[in-house]
Amino acid sequence: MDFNRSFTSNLGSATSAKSQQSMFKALRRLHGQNLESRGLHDMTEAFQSFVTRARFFSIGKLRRTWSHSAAEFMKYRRLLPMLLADGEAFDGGETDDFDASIAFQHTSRDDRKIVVSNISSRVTQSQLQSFFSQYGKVSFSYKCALKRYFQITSCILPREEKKTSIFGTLPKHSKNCGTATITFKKAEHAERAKNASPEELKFYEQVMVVSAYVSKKRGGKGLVLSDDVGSREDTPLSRASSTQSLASGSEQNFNLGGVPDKVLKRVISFLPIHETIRVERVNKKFMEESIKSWELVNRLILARETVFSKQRPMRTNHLKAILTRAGVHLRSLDMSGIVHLLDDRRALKVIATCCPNLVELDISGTHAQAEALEELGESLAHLEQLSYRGMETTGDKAFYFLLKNCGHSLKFVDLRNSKRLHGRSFRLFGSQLESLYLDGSSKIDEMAFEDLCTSCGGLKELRINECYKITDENLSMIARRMEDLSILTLCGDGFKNLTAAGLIHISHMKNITELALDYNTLVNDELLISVSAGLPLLASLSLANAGDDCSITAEGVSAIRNLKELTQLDVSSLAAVNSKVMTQLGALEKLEIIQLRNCTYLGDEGVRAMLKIPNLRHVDLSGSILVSNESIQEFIKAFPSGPKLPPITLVVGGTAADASKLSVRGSRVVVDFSDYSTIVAMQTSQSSASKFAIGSSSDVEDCSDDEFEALTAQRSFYIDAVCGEEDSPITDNGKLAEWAEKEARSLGLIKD
Amino acid sequence: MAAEAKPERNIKISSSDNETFTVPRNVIRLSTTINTLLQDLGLDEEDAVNTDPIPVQNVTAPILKKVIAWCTYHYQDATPTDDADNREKRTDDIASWDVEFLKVDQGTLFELILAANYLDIKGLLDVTCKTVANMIKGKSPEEIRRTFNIKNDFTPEEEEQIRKENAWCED
Repeated sequence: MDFNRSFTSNLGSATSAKSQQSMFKALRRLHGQNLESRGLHDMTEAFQSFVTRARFFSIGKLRRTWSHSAAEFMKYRRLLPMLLADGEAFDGGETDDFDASIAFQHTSRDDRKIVVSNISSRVTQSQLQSFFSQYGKVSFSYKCALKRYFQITSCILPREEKKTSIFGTLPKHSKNCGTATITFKKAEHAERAKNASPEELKFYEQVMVVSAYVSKKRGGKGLVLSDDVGSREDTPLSRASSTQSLASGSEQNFNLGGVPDKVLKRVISFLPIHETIRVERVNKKFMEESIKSWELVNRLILARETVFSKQRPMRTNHLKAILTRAGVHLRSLDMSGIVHLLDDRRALKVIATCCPNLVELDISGTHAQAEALEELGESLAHLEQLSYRGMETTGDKAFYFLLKNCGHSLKFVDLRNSKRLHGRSFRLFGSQLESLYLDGSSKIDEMAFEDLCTSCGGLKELRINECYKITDENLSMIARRMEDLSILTLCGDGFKNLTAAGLIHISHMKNITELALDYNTLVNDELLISVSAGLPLLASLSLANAGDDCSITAEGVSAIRNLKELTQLDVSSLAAVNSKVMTQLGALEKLEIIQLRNCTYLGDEGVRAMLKIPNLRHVDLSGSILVSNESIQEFIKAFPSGPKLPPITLVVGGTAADASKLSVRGSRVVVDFSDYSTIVAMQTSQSSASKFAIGSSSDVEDCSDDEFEALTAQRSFYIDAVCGEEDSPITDNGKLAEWAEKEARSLGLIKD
Repeated sequence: MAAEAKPERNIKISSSDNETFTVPRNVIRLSTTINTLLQDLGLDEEDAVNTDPIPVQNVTAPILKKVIAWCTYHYQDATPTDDADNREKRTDDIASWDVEFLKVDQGTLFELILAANYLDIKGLLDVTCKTVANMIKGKSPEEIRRTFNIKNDFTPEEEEQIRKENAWCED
C-alpha cells in the first residue's frame, strides 16, 4: 500500500516516541479495516502529509499559520475517522443489531418505529433526534431519518426545499415536510414516545403528533378498526392500530351511512385520489358524494399520491380520470416528480381541456412538443405561476410556444436548470412578473437579460445563479430598470463576462433586501463596502465561499456592520472572519440567523461577541474549529429560557466542543452537534440520487443514515484530534514561525 | 384593544336534554351557527340581557360538553382560511391534542361529527372528517360496506361497469 509507505516515510521525521506509537496504532487499524475498499487510496499526497503534521503540531497553531492545508484537512476529514477514530463506527454489535432487525425481525422493527408529524418546519433532523432520545436511545444504525415523506418532496415544495444547484440560493433552512420516521432501539421506548402527552411533545411551539409506524410495503392501511374483518386480526397492522383505534371495545358501529351528505363529501375529500375514485363503487350515495367531493379539493400534488410508483407509473388515462373529476375545481396542479409514462402531448391536452381555472401549474418532467405546449398556454387564462424545471432537453422553441399566450399574465416563473434555454422567449413576459428563477440555466444570454429589463420592470425576485453569460452591462441595466428588485442571487464561480467592477452595480439596487453571492469569486472588499453603504434595506446577505482570501479581508467583512436591518448573515468559509470582525458585527442587533461554517479563524472571542444580539434564533458554527467549549458554554448561559422566548439553535458540530462537558440546563439554546459544513457538497449527490429514487421509500432512509454516519464519525475524530493529548514537538515560537513560513512559501501563499 | 379589555361575556347554551352550559363568548365564536345567531338577534350588544339559554337541539349534554372542550382548547387558533383556499387531500396533519381528543368510541365520534356539522365548527368538522377518512383509508368498497353496514344499491352490471372504468384504482 503506497498509503502506508508515505505514512512511514513521514514517520521517519518524527521525533516523539509517543507520536510514533499512536501512529503505529493508527496504521494497524488501517490494515484491519481494509481501507482501500473504502476509497482511501484516493487520498492525495498533500493530505497524507497533512495527516502526519496534524498529529505532530497542535491544530490550533497550525490553523493560524497554514490555511491551505487546513482546507485540505476539511476536505478529507470525512475519511479520517476510518484511520483514527476509536473504532466505534465499526462496532460489530451495532452492525449485528442492524442486520438482525432488518432481516429477521421485521415486525419488531415496526414496533420500534414511530411516525412523527406536525413537526415545525424549522426543526432539523438532529434536533429531532436529540428531542426523542429522551424516550430511549434512538437506534444508531437505523436512526432518525428525517425523511422527506416522499423522496420527491424536493420537487413538490420548490420554494421550500428544492435546491437545484449547490449554491444555497433559497432560504438556508430548507423546510422539512413535517413528517419523520424514528426508530428506537427498543419497542418500549417507541411505546413510551407514543404515549407522551402533548405538552411533552411541544417543540418549537408546535405540538408534534406521534403515531404508530405502519409499513407501507405491507400496504399500510392507516387506522384499522378493531371490529374490522376478522382475518386481519393477527397481522401486525391490527396491533399497530390497537393503540390508536377509536373503537375502545364498544359494540357500536360507526354509522357512516347515517351521516349527512355534506359530511360524507368532506370525509371523502380527504381520501387519497385513487381511493376517492374507488369508493364510487360503494353505492349511489357514495358515488354522488365522491364526485362532489372534488369541489373541496383545489390543490393537487400528484407526487404525494402513493398509488403511482415505479411499479405502477402514471399513465395518460389515469391523469384523464383524475382531471375529468377534479379539473374544474383545481387552482393548483403539481405534476413534478411523479413517475409517469404519460403521452406528453395528450397529457397536456387533458390539462388544457380539463383545468380551465388553474392559477398554479408545475409541469416539470413532462417533455412535450411545441404545439402541445402552445395549446396548453392558450387555454390557461388565469395562470399566474408556472414551473417548468429541469427541462434539460427542451429548447427555446418549446418555451416560446408555452409562454406565447400565458406569458404576459404570469407572476411567478420557475425555469431552473433548463440547460438549452437561451431566453428568446423572455420578451413575452409582462410587467406582472414578480419572481423569476433561472438558476442553472446557463445558456441564458446577454440579449435575454436585456429583454427582461425592458419587459419586466416590476420584477421583485431574480435568481440567476450559474447564469454565467450575464454581463456587466446587464447588471447595470438591471440596476437601472428593475427598481423594485428586492431579491437577487448571483451565486457561482464561472461568471466570465462579469468583472468585480461590474458587480458594484448591485450597490445601486436600492430596494434589495436579500442578496446571495455564494461562491462568486468576484466579490471583494470594495463591493462589500459599497453594498454596505448603498443597500440600507438589506436583510439577508449570503457570502459563503465568496471571493478569495486576498480579495475579501477583515475590512470588507466588518463593513457589513453598517447594514442595520440585517437579520440573516452567511459568511461561511471566509478566511477574513475572525474574532475581531465578529466583535464588530455584534453591533447588528436585528440578526437572527448567522452562518459561520468553516470560519477557521473565528475564536471564542468572536462567539462571545454574539451574546448581546437579542433576537438570535440560529447560529451555525459547524467546522469553525477554534471555537471551544468555553465560549459555547457562555453562549448557552447568556440565553436563559423563559416563557414566550423562542429557542435558539446553536450548531457546534466540527468545533472543539465536547458534548459531555456542556450544560444546557435552564437555557433556551438547543445545541445541535451535527456538522453541516460539508453538506453543500453532499447536496448535489443527494439531489441526483433522489431524482432516480422515486417510489421506494427505503432508499432515502438509507441515504440519510449514511450521511449521519459520516457526520458523526467525522466529528468524533475531530474532537479527538483537537482535544488530543499530544503536544507539538515545536515548542519554540520562533521555530514555529519559521516552519509556517516555509510551508506557506511552498504553497505559494507568500511570494519571494 | 377595547374589545378585549371589557370583562369576558358568557353565553348560555342548553343541550337537547336540557342541561345548561355557560361558555365564554369568544369560545363559542367558533360555532358559526351560534355566532351568526347571536349577531342576528342582536344579543351581542353589551347591554343585551340574555337570561334564556340558547337551545341547541340535536346535541346531547355529553357531546356538547366535548364540543365545548374542543372549542376552549382551540379558540385562540388562527381562524382557518376560507374553504376555497388551498385545500389538499391529506389527513396526516391532525394535531396531537386532537388525536388524543378523538380517541373516543365510534358512537361518540359519530355524534361529534353531527354536532360539528350542526353547529358549523369548521375546525372540529375537519379533524373529525379526517379521522373518519383515516378509518376508510385502505379499505376496498366491499370492506367499507361490511364495516359500516352500507347497502349496495347498484345492480351487479352497474357495479361491474364502474369497477372496469376505475380498474386502476383497485389494488
